[in-house]
Amino acid sequence: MSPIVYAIPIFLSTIVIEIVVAHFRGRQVYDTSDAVASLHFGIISQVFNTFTKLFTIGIYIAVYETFAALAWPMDSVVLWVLAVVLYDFCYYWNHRLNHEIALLWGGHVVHHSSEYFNLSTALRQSSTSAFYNWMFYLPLAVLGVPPTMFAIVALIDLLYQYWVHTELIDRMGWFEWIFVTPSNHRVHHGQNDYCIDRNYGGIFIVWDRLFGTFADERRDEKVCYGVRKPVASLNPLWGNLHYYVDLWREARKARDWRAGLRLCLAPPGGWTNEALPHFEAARFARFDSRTPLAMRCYVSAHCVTLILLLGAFLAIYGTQGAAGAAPCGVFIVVTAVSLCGLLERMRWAKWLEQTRLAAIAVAMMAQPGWLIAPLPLAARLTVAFAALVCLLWLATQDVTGTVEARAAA
Amino acid sequence: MNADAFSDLALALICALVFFRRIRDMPGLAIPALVVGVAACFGVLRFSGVAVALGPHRYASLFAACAAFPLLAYALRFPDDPIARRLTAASRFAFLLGGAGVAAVVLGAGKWGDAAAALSALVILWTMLLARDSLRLFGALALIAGFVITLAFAPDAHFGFVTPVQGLHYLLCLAFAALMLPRRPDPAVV
Repeated sequence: MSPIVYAIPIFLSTIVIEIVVAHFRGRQVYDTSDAVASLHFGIISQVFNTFTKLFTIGIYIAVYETFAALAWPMDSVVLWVLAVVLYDFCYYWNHRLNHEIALLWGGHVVHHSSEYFNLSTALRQSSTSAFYNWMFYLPLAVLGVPPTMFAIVALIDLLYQYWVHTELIDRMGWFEWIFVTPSNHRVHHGQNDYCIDRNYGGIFIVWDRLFGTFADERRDEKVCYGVRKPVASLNPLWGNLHYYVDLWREARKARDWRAGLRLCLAPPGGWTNEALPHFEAARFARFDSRTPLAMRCYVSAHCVTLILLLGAFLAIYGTQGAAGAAPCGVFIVVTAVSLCGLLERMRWAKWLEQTRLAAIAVAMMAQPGWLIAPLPLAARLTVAFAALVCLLWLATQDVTGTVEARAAA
Repeated sequence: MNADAFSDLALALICALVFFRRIRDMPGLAIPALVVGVAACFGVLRFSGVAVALGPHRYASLFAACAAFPLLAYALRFPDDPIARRLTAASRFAFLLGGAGVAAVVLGAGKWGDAAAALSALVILWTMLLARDSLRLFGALALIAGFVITLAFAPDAHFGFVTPVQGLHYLLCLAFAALMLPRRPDPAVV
């Protein structure tokens, strides 16, 4: 089973701790809609990444078996440390080019689309970056880092980056010189002028100091998080695809195929020697979906069930493979889109959600094992009843008004 | 040092010369020289008996076939394009194309690298025919000849005193010298 399954309870409990600590310090570092949307981004990225393992691990194994120079022993501590350092070096370049090449930014923009900076932001991951991120690690396969060691080191690097997504930890003294910390990662997520294209490191910040991309957090300037061209949506599918859609439209407007190619390889702002427009922090306003409290509670509750379902999905994938897990994966994605649509008060989301709930009720009675293992009759009745109650409650809710709210914003 | 290693050394030296000569004005030519040069350096080690260099040499050669030759063809065909003129654009082009090519080959499309290199050579030949540039036309023909002898003959075949692999290396030296060293105006073909 994916190790992420074991990390999910840690993620959720630390998010709760962060909310509580922020509350007692009088800081507003969370927005329910944003945080729930981040979790949905994370959930569907896990679903997609499960299916794209061929790209992430499969190609690595193939290159390792064909071109490896050496066979690294797994029992050497020194080599494990070296593997972490080398992996992080590759990660630095991967991350940097994810920011500097428009085609790759289309995937990575997802992670930066939140205008809040908290532990849930760490879980806001791209569903498309698995298609190209593997390229940056192929030199490790050629060096002879075994696939198992590679997978574990990748997990260490990924999990390390979780805790640095918080506003509640201040500067950390000497630690700042060597390692990525919440302070220097806040700069990375900022859209202030001094924050753009800075601090790409995963575990070690020394790469940024070495390659000239380091910027220290400024005391006199509050960091505003997010991207210069905000997506202004909580929809996880649109969040993953919007930049590619823009890029495609731009490429179609280009005068020939070479111009389209240049556009894809250019930095997100295009090939220009001009400085970025000045960012006015005082005029910055976060995206507010203005979701009613009742709807936030409804979506949050369903998000918890979706996380449980993700655990079931990963378990099914482990035993039955891609074909067996596909229906569950599709259901998770549809649910995520539907719930985030409700957060945005989209009209279509109400109908999609009601259809989903009706389908759950019918399927629970007619097809006991349609999603995961067959449940006992009492459980099925309970789920079907709950789905019908939700359906009826939803019918009483007014979910219109997003367009007007956006216009007002 | 045996004859194979020597031929790779010659190629590595030519590539270094091209790289340092063209890196400022034509990165689209310098980057292919760098990629092929790295492969040649691994080749020198491999043919000198350094066993661990075998994998890196094969990997770098595959990467060069998938990335360097298409970039070379692009830069010669469109010399005023930012991908030919900007270091970042040229290196991004090579990196993404090389990564995709390596993946295609290890996932089963075994001839991808050969096809990319051969197609690139044909594009270069066509460009030089249109430009009526005799020196570079000679370079394009040397490039094609190098690929032909590698594909057409077994690695252990002999032509006088050179094997097909050595022949490829020497013909690449000639091709690179003719195509990339001269700093005359590049043949912009519309």
